Amino acid sequence: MSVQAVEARAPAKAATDAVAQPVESIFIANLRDFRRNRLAVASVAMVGLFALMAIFAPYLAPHDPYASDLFRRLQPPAWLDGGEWAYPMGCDGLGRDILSRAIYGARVSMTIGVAVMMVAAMAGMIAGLAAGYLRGWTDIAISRVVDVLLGFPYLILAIGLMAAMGPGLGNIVLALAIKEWVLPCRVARAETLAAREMEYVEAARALGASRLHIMLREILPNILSPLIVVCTMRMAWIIIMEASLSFLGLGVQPPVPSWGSMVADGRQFLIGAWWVSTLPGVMILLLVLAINLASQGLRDAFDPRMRT
Amino acid sequence: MSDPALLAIRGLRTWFTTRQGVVKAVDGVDLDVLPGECLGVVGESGSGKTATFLSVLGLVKPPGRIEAGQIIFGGRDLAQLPAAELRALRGRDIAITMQDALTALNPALTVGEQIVETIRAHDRGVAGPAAARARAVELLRLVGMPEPERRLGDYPHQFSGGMRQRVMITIALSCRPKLLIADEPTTALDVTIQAQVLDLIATMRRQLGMSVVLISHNLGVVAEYCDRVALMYAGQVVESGPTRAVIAAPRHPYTQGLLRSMPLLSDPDRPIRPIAGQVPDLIDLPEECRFLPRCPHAADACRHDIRLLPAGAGRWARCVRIAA
Repeated sequence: MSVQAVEARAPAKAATDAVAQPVESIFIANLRDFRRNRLAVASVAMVGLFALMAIFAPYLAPHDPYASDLFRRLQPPAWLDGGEWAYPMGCDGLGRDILSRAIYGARVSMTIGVAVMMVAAMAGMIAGLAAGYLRGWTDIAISRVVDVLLGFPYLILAIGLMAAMGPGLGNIVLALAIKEWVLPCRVARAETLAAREMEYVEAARALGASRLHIMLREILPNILSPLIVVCTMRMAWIIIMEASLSFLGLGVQPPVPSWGSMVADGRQFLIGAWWVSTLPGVMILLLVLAINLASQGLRDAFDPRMRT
Repeated sequence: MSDPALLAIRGLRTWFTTRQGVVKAVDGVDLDVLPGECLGVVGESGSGKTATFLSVLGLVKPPGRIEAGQIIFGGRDLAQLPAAELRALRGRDIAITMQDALTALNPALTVGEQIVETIRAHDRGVAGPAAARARAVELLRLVGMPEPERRLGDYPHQFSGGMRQRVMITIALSCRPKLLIADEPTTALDVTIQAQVLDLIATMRRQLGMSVVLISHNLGVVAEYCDRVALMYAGQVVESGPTRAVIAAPRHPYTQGLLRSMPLLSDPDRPIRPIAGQVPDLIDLPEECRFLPRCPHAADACRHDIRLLPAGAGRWARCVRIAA
């Protein structure tokens, strides 16, 4: 490298240090940190692939996921004896293409994961903000409900609710969201308790801001990062819960393909035809792992308290 | 105290009930702020300066409570006003700038959003987003912010301390209040920036014709920028009057002691004599002169409740020796 080039760079750098150093929002800086984390970026790409798979399932699936062919009952995957490449992952006990069903199964998992998280995040955020900012009876009421819900085992509550309400996509979302909002609520409340004592909240009050304005405009933007992190982490858990419910036969009803019910269907053939349960199980594993890794990357980049 | 005051505080008592007892942070404060004037409120930490003006705005937090007194502003008693009306008045008629401009600005919102939202909060409907934005740019230019259009999109951490204080002042002025309460606007700033910010407040006062209350513990700053001064000690006003007169001939022993404890540029060899003793504990104070334990003129006559007494042209002092 020539001396000239070095000299040319030096003053430019000094100038940026003096003036341009601050001209970057916190969000952009965090995003840059996040992009440096290769594993997290790969995980986000993975989640994205699953999302695309869910959206374009009709174009990607080689066969109709509902079409059964009794001559192909428990046909092994293509690389085993008796398999054929038209059905790469083999067929299940009713002779349906496992790959196609697994692709369609992504729809159920992704839809429920996103829907439950949206409902739970919105409800939890509003309840947590109200409890943390208004305090008093609002806080006592909300916090007691939270405590009670935390005391229930998740799966048992969901099973009970599903048994009471009956199966169906909407009911699954409801059954899971009824408990799931508690976590974003606790995070939002704790963060709000800290934020409400900040001087900018006092300043906003001094300038005549309403309580609603203070909660939604002054406090909410400041507590959003930890909320987003918690919600993405919980999404992986919700997908497992949906699979568990479907495995128990309380989730999406047949013949709609769901990973959990596919695993359950294959259970009876596990010794002779292991492939029936395996592919949906691997799908659950991959999606949950990808979401977890992505959310950890998000936390490292966006949660200021993780910085050292 | 007979002039038509913009803000008249009468017998204000703001007490904090704690487990140790009742802290009388503000105990019988009488103050007037005249239209267009700059009033300096001077006192040590805990003397009740900030608590007095938080009471005016109805921002005292529990366990604090306004126990008694009137706060007359625009013909209404703010101490009796419903919360909603008081809120509408805050920011529009009376604005306050907080001590530390770094923590008083929301770190998650751009400066532009914070200014625009304050304007829109009080001018809903009248000013559309574009008009409010234009006003924000105009105000930022007025307070001497270079490149206001560009800086509107910046976050508070991207500003220097002095610029942040300017932003605070801009937000406070955005609705053209009749009264600006500047709570120690310069404590977090270095000396050269202090002068700039104080000059800015003085200029704004003249341009907008508003009154300013400058809360400070720096008598020098107040002497330079304020028409009148009120000194507070242990939750009470001990002396008030035209700044020049008070500094030239202080009537209350506390003021006298305060002035003796300051170094003078004109007489650097003068010995600095601090006031002996300590500020009293504000819990369970006896009904007597608050300054009694530290007063060089303490006498038996001081052992009862002392009121603010007229002490010359526009001057008041809370000392028995005035009456004599």
